[in-house]
Amino acid sequence: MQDRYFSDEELTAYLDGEFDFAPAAQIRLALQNDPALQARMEALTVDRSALREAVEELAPDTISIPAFVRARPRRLFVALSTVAVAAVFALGVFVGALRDTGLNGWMEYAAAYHALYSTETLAHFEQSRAGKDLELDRVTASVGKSLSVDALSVLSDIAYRRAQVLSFEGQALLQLSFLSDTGIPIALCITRSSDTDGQPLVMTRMEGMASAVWSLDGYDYLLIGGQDDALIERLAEALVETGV
Amino acid sequence: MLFRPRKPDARDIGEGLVQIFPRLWRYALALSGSRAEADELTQSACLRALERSTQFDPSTSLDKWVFRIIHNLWMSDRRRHKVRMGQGLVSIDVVDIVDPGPSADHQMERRELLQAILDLPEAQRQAAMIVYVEGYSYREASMILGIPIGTVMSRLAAARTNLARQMGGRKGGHRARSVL
Repeated sequence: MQDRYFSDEELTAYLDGEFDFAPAAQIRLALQNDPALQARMEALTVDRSALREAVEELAPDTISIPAFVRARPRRLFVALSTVAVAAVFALGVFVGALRDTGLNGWMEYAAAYHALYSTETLAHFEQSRAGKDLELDRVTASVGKSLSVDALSVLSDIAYRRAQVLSFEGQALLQLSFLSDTGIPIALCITRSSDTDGQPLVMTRMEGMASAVWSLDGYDYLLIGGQDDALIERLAEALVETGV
Repeated sequence: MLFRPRKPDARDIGEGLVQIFPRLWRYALALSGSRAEADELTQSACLRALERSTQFDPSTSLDKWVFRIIHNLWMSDRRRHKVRMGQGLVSIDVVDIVDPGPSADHQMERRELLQAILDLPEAQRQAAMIVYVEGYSYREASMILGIPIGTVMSRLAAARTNLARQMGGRKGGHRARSVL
């Protein structure tokens, strides 16, 4: 018979090896000849390793979903992209930021729309220089912006194919489509921004495609397409530098 | 000249988050009982950690810091939305969160164990997850959960009683491997 009563909390601490919170020596001694205490101990016994293993079988989906790094240093993405678990991180760590900005909607839709593009979607668009200028004038006016074919010449590695006006929640969304030398569709999407401060260029992945996102002079930009992060980053930087 | 550890920046925090993301997500899943909510809660916690990266003390542990963030987010969300009240119980069915797979015996056992944890009252479940699954000490659990150590102990004692009772009817498999 034990001399003192041990609480369930003390017995639990003993089982957990938390001896700062359990009179371990007394419990150990009492267990040697106290069947009632042994029974209480048994009633508290669980297999911690089995519990841990059962829970550890649960895993988040590792499928990458549209991600967006708002106002984060670009090097964050670059660093993460070098590790195998980047997909887990891209799982949506920054989706909250998208929600905060309210930009996620149009970017996600634009990315999903562009994901449907193939080389054939754009290959047949062949226009004269005058036709391109006319189309750009008409389309860019919808967002109050002026863009010329000459201005797009900074995108030296991709060829302009067409421009069209889309709409997201009643707001005009400009989509300029390009094809790379290897036939990869690339889109530059522009819409008016509520963020007057602007946001630095950030590389990320949306719909599994290399993407660059930034805000400048009252407009939000998304450049997206293919898997070549370096190409998209270089093109985006050229656009930022020239103020396109 | 004294060496001072470099203050971690968002990149450091981000790299650390990559490592602990699955653990955070599992805890979020145990809290919410929903994959979708676990996704959102974990994302919110990671974002909060990045936003507050300058507040992180590099002499402490990132995982404990973010576990505390995710716990606080969940608790404040519960208060705000006043959901899942009533004895603090969240009804979670393991079949909703575990992909169907081969019905091997050991897998059935795992699922029963998982269900036993999920069936715990929320306060007990939180303590059991933090101490028994994540392996934190009582002191660390007290910090993460924001409760006194005595409360951690009483929740764990209750959790042990419930878990042992639920698993008591099982054939001795788990007990046979039990060391504590």
